[in-house]
Amino acid sequence: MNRVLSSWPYVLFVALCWLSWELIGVLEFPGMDSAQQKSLFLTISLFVYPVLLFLAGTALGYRRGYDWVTVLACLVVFIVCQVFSSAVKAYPLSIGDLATFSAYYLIPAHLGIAAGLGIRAVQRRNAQPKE
Amino acid sequence: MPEVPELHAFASRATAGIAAPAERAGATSELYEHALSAYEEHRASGLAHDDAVQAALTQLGEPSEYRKDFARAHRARLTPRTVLLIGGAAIVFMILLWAFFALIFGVAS
Repeated sequence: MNRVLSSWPYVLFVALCWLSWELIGVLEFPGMDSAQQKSLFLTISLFVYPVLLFLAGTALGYRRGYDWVTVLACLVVFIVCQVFSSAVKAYPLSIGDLATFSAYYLIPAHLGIAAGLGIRAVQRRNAQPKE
Repeated sequence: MPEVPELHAFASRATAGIAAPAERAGATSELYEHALSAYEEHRASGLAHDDAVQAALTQLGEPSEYRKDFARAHRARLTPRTVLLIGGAAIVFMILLWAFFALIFGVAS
């Protein structure tokens, strides 16, 4: 339970990512036609959020090692947010959609965790006194 | 080395805040050995098994007192150099992501 509670910064980050995505969906972008707006959404969803998830994963991997409790807590929050969004928009989510969302979250996050673990291992090896 | 489940439970509870499994196992084993040596001292002074376990646990204190310190000690700090390394890793990831999409959309078009 303590480990779940100590995951709050990462859970908050996921919730803020979701909120910002919902905000972008309702914002007006003056001077942009629908094709440009579509490109912007594509860039944000395929590039910006994966990089943010990667960065969060790197910070997590570096600071705590492979903390599966936090990874799972964030995934649950991420899925709950998607289900909530779809319920509000009256757009039912299929199991396939949920699997896609999970992969969208898990792949960059795990690549980030791997990078964080690598940085942590290199730093610890360098910090050990040489014989 | 005798196995004392109560001391093992104490060590497991005290190190529960460490997220990395390998580090948690190492810390648990180290703390267990520390608890065991306290237990053996009490046994050597003539206490029975149950009394020695109780005395060792009293001597060590509450597991919750250790938990926060252990979790903090095993959490790596973000230094400016580390932030730079993480930024570098993110740039590499962005390049790989760009190459991946260029490949996908390049092949598709």
